[in-house]
Amino acid sequence: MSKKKLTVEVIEADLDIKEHLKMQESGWNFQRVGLYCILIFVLTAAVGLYGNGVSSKKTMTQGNTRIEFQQFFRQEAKMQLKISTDSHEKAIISFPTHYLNHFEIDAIVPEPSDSYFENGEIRYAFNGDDAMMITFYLVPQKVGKIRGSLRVNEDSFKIYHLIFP
Amino acid sequence: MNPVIRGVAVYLFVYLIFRILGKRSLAEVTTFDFVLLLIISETTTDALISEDYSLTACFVMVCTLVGVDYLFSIIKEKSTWFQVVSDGAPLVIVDNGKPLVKRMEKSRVDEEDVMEAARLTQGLRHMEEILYAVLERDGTISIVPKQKSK
Repeated sequence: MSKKKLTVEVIEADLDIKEHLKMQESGWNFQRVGLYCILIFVLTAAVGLYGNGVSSKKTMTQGNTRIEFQQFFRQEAKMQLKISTDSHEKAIISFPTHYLNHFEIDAIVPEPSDSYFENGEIRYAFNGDDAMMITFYLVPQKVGKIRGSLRVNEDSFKIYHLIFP
Repeated sequence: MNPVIRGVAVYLFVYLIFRILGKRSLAEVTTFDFVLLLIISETTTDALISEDYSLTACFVMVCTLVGVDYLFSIIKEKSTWFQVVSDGAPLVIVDNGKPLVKRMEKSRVDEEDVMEAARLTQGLRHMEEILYAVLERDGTISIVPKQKSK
């Protein structure tokens, strides 16, 4: 059986204390590993692994439409789903109901002129005669993967999020 | 998220962070550390209660935190291993006037800290006057002077 060597001075003090040096050594090792974990956690957060950063932001373009959303985000925090489209009349944005069930819609800017259910989808209609920029403020209610799709007039996008607690 | 799970998660996370920072993290609180602690407490409060300001949520949270703390204290009483792992153990850092450098490095304590404790608690002036300096579990340094041991 191999005996682990102590890396600190071994003394015999005339004191009624139990130093538990081996356990202390484990504690110091744990602290060192823990500090690296904190560093990794902070760095990954800084690059946006938990939302609001370069690694989290995802942009997709199709036809005249461009969408921007967060791939990684946090439960109960407000995130933006930005949609820019060049349709010069009416923009209809459709979400499957199962996708929106995982979110609380905090706000839609600008407000849609109409919203209704059709074919298992929730549709929002926006009137405009120029390039439109629509922002959905969504608050994720579920932890884990959320997959869904989004349709802006004829342009379809597959979107996904990984929501942290 | 369920308030009990939220409370336990925050308790364990804060516990883990202060365990990683070591014994000395709260032993010497500077003005800035105090402000930092206030910011940490404010941040954790938001995560704990979220947007639920009901009395029930408050009671659940308080009972959860106190309950987990009580449970930890019971486990510590029963298990020496858990006590040492969670709170550490006392560590001699000066032996017969000689600083134990490796022990001090590992515990992130320097000779200045020892001498400060020696001056404040025993009125000692030199390292040679110290028989033992012990880094206690709560991060304070206790001093046994040479003359008193005789």
